[in-house]
Amino acid sequence: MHISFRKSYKQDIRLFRDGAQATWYLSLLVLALAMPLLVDGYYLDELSFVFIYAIAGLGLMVLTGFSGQVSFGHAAFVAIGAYAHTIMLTRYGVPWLLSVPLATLISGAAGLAIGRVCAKMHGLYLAIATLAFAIIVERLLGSGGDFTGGHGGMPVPDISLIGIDISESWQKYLVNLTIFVAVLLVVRNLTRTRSGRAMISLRDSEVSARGLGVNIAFFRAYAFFLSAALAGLAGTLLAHAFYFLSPESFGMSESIRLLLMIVVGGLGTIHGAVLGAFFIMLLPTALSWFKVLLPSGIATSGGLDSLAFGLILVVFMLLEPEGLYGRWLKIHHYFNVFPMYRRRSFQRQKTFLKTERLK
Amino acid sequence: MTGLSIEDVMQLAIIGLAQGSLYSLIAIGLVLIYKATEQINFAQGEFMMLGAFFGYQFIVLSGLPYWLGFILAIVVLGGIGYAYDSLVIRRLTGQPVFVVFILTLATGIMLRALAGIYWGFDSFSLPSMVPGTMDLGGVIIGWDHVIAILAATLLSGVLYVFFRFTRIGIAMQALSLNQLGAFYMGMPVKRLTSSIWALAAMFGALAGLLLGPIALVSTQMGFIGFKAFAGAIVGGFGSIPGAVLGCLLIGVAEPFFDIAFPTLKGVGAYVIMFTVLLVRPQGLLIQMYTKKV
Amino acid sequence: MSWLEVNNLTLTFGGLKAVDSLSFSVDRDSIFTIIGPNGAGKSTVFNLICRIYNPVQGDILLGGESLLSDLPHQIVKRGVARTFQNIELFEHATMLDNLLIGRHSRGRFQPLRELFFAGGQLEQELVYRRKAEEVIEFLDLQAHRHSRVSDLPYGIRKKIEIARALVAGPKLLLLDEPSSGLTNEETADIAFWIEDIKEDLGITVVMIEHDMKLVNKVSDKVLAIAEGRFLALGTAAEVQDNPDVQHAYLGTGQT
Repeated sequence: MHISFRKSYKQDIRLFRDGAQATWYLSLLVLALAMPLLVDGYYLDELSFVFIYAIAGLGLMVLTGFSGQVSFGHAAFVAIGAYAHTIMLTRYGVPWLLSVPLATLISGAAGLAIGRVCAKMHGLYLAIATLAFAIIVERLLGSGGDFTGGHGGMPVPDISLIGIDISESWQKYLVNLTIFVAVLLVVRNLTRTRSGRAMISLRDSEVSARGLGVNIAFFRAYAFFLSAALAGLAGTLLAHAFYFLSPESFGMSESIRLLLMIVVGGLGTIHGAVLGAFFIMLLPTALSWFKVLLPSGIATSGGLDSLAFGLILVVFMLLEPEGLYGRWLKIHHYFNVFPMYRRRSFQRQKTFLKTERLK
Repeated sequence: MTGLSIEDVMQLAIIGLAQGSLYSLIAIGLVLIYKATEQINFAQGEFMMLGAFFGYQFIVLSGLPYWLGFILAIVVLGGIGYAYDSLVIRRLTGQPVFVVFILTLATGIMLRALAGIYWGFDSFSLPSMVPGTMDLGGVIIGWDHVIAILAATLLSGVLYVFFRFTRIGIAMQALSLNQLGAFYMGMPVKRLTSSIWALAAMFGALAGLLLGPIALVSTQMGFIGFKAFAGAIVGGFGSIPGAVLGCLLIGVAEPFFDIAFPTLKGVGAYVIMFTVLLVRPQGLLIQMYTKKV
Repeated sequence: MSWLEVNNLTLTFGGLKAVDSLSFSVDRDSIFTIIGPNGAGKSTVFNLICRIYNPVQGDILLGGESLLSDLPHQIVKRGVARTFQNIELFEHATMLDNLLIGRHSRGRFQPLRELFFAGGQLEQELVYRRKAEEVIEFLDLQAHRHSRVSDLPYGIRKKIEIARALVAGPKLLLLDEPSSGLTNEETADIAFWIEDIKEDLGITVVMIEHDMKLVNKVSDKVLAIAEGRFLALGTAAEVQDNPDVQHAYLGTGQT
């Protein structure tokens, strides 16, 4: 049994609660850094995708997981970041180190604008409004003619850092890893400070948040800003990973995939976004092993990936709404208190519908 | 918008009205479920798609007479709706809102994939209920469109009366206002809820069977469901008249919007929704209130 | 001296007068209880003070200044904090996080310092934490610091509601049915704490209550209202003996 003693307030405020936690995460970091020495380019590219999706997922997590604003249109912000960055690079010759933060801010500004409009909307309306936004953005990018490359798309050049071309897989991997770790720290900092707590309060009880001085509209908009900025940042990296941008990669399906990704991972947690990203990337590979067992007619059908994805989500919602991270925590708890685990520890209570509407 | 004659305008308006009527049939299903259970069914578009596919299966592939296949498809969807609620949704009563959000979203994805695996990912044609066109003072309209408008109008009226004046209708509204209380009052809550899901699915199926001849049956059909959401929100989600009004509005406006703003072709519904929400954040007819503390 | 003044307050919902020309005043450093049958409008009065509703008529003054120009999220800066009849805690967060949010109004929005955890954020967090710990100590909630609120029993959650309001450092505390759902022992405990809040923390308490034992034990003054209207004001004993009050609760006894 592992008992972690709390000896000071700083322990709860600091990044890692104790030496054990710090060692665990730092080892993961070391492992991640060592990857280029252990695996070849193909896997490094896959891991890069995981990091990029995790960044986008963290952005959506801030919006949906922390402040409770369900967004069906997050891919639009990824798109804005990706396109803004590429256009600045190719058309206006902006150096990469400047273009990335600028694109991030542009995305954030778009998020802020949408956030201010949607700040007063009820949950469903907000979801559909964000969906509408994503559809409209996809359409606009498609009609952008030469400026955005229209439906034909737009090629993306290599990253160029202070004159050095970053084109090898391992180089891009390290760039993505660095930015990913930076984003992790920033989001973690958010959760342990005033603004992050304010956002969490929005999710659960607006009325008491107001009573405690939280300006609801302000923090909802701020959440939108941050989450859109992070999505935009992911977009800039995604552009280089794809080498080519087209509006279809950022449509409604992508947005919904992002949302489902963070739900599978575990809504409201940082680990959830990362686990969800791993899940999304591993799913096709895992499925291809499974397909060998199926009759060829079904196996080669295009719908199998989606079917598996949908099915896994349905199963999760029915059995483990807290997602992969939630399940991990329960397993962790089991080993922590072993052999005194009680099966009823996590039993769901029988509940009835409590209406949110006032007649 | 130069070069449009009065006949053209009328034609577009009527086609738009028909389209809006089909949206409203889908939206009615959404609002039914919401009013009874405060849940949002993101798979409603896929219910519509399934209705069209089953129609295709029975009428085209199995060669049954049109009316038989039509009714069978609707009944099958009713069964699917009922089963979906009793086997899946019911387990999640009282869970936070997003759980059902995600569940129905994922179900939609699954249904789309299943339909594609079974019937294929192409587009298929479905015969019309009444083939041919009619002439309305110089404007040629397909019977498909006329029937869509009639169906939506008729059914909205029936539902309005049902919820306002019949015992079962009022009981269904009580379900969401105080579910525990409904149980205590001896209402068969589970059966009523599943019946509502069945009804919603049947409305969706009807929409699919009427849309199929116009727009072809395919796995992508369900995305129209989101336009139904937009329409219901424009009118004010939570009331059937509101949902119908909003959907009709969007349906009629869409073709003209596409002509006026070619860069935004196809997304008019959403732009209109945004505009309405900017001015009236609750939709045109207010139905939602804040939590009472 | 009178500190919170409610003058001629009226609120209508459609045709219904939820609060009807209600006037009363609360002295500083006292415990003021509002009683009345269900639906009398007691929570509505709280909602008006907290600016969730706008009155159609009348004024609410705190220390001589009108509160009516404030928005709901500004009221806490005036020193007003409240609890809710049906617990409105942040269910997904730990108790400690709930309390830390209580201190929100005392902080400032510093986005860059927060995101990079620089420029004194650690010190700032420690300041918040110390205040939360004061309240934890006061209400004996040490055991539950890191428990998720949704996992805790009802009596503890009620206390956390009060704790969270106290962390905001109010001068006026509005308690909405603090003893509802509590056992007799828990209610007796709450009585002690309410008195301590007045005496040790120097906070004026306005309380809505149904439990007459609690009302009798702690109240300095009691206001009875029914159907949104003033009924009686006085000590607990005076108000309970008032025939109008008895009539409102029990009926006239005549058939």
